[in-house]
Amino acid sequence: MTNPGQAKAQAKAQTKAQQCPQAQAQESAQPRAQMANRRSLTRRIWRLIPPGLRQPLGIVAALIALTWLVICLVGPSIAPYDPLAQDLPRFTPPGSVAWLGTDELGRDLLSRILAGARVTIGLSLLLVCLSMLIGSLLGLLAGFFGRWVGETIMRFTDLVLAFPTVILAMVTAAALGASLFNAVLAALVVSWPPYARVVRSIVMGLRENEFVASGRLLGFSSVRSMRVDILPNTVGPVLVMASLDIGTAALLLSGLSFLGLGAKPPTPEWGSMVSSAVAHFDKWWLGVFPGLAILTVVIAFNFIGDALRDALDPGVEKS
Amino acid sequence: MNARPNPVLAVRDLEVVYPGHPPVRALRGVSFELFAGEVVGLVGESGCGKSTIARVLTGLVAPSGGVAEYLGKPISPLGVGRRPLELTGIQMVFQDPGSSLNPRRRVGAQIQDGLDLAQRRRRGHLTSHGGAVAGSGALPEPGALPEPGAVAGLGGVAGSGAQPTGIAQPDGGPVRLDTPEDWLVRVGLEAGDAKRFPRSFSGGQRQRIATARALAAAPEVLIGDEPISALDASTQARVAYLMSSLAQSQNTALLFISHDLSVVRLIADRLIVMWAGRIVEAGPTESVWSNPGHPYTKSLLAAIPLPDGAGRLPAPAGPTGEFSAPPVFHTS
Repeated sequence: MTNPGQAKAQAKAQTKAQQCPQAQAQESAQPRAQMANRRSLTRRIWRLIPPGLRQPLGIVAALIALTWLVICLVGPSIAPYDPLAQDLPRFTPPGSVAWLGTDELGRDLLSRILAGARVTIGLSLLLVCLSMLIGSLLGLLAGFFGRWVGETIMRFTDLVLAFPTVILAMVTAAALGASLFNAVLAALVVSWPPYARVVRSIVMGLRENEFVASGRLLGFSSVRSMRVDILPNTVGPVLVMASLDIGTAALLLSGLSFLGLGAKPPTPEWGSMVSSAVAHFDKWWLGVFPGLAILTVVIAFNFIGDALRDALDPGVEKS
Repeated sequence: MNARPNPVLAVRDLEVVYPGHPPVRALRGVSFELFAGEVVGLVGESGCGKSTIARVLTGLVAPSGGVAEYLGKPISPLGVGRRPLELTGIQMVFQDPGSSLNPRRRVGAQIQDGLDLAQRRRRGHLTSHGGAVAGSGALPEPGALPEPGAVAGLGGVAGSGAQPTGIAQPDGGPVRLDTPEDWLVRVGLEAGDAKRFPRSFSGGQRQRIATARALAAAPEVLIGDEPISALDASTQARVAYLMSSLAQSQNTALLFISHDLSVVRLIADRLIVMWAGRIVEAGPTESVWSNPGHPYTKSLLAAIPLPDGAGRLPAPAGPTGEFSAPPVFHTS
């Protein structure tokens, strides 16, 4: 009972208590010791995290995202039922038989969500990473070199942006043939231009900075200038944009699935589950649970993006 | 004077026109020379073309007419490719301490860029001086600089801040300048600062770091493009002293651009006064300072506030029409 860490924590708790006498008066000695004990444990865990990443929201978000990523790996094996089996009564409300209810074909919703994590999260991440890479690279070249290189790239970007996103993705997916991977490629065609535009404008602003000119005067090649002076300074905004984009990507992919151009019907995929719930509006659980799954993923990655930006950007005050 | 070697930098009839409606004639035929190891102050009001000269000399702007030569070869404008190694002997310290350093890199790494360049230049036999090791006693003793009292009498520069600090080596031995840490100590910061990011330094400290980076490259010419204009009065004098004494200690010519004649006067061997894209007066500092010949120089000197506590406003400038008088060149 008397390890040094605990004593230290108790001392800290006492100092705290001295600072606010009211709390001291209300608390008896016993719970206070317990609280101090608990606090020292959380404190110790907290200290394991590198200082730059000590942001509560970011850590909660990271835990949620980590949970989902684990589910991506082990989802089907921890599911209570076979996600494709149609054994249960149709439209069972959430309860002891099926925790999250069953759908119109008597499939267990929880099992389908767990199994669908792999499809939805995996493909959304893949899509966002690819469009971020392609868009950033083109934007970087366009912003850095300007003139005809920039003009060519940006007019091509405008061309793609001029088409309605979903229609262009549909046409591409239809031309490639219906499969999940082709749906990702089709979504990629329409997802990169925003990155190109944003990165180009950031790069054009950065290029005016004196440290970029200093680098050139010190004999940096274009590649080194981009790698050392430009690219690291674009990371923050682009990461935030990508984290916001994961939700859009998930929705775009499920839209394509809904149209029969992505996930084929029996495949558990969150977007298609939400889509099929539209037909049975009174069975609320059909849409709410897959929707919540999408929501938690989107929010988690959004907060991670924010936390990453703060951690990566030495110029921004930590909040 | 006539025994001087060839200039490191020569500018003849330089003209720069910025496109626009109407086009801006930033430089209207500027000629001057810069010799090894000397400190030349380039002064004039905002928009007179001072910074344009710096940008032409570093290749950031292409001249519309005339020539700018470095060691007898024309300075080519900086394109998409890497700057030619032989032109890297011209380095620059920029105006804005807020953006002169990359916020995402530790200052040590940024100074190392300068050292790396110096090594490449040595390998290409492009340096005329050792660069890495400056001789002992190369730095002028504080006593060799103008008296603090003289500083205090000018332009509100605090006398206490005028002494160069932290750059003299107590043991008097040769100063090793092989690492970013050496350079940080040399410019009056601490070796441990190499691991810090630019955000944890003040404006004056950042300009010291930028100076260290530029001089670590062992250049023949250092251009300061208003490097002190964003600093407070006492820091201004310190950074200006630091730049000139470090540049002189490794025989680097310094072209110090500023609108503040009272500080430039303290470090410059020669002064060049510009107005509206032309040189209106040039000559040895003391001669120009004590005996200004051109109406614009006179008004520039009259505009320096007097620190007599009377709170008097600077004398109003005369009509600018008389500034188009022919230029005055002092001979030494």
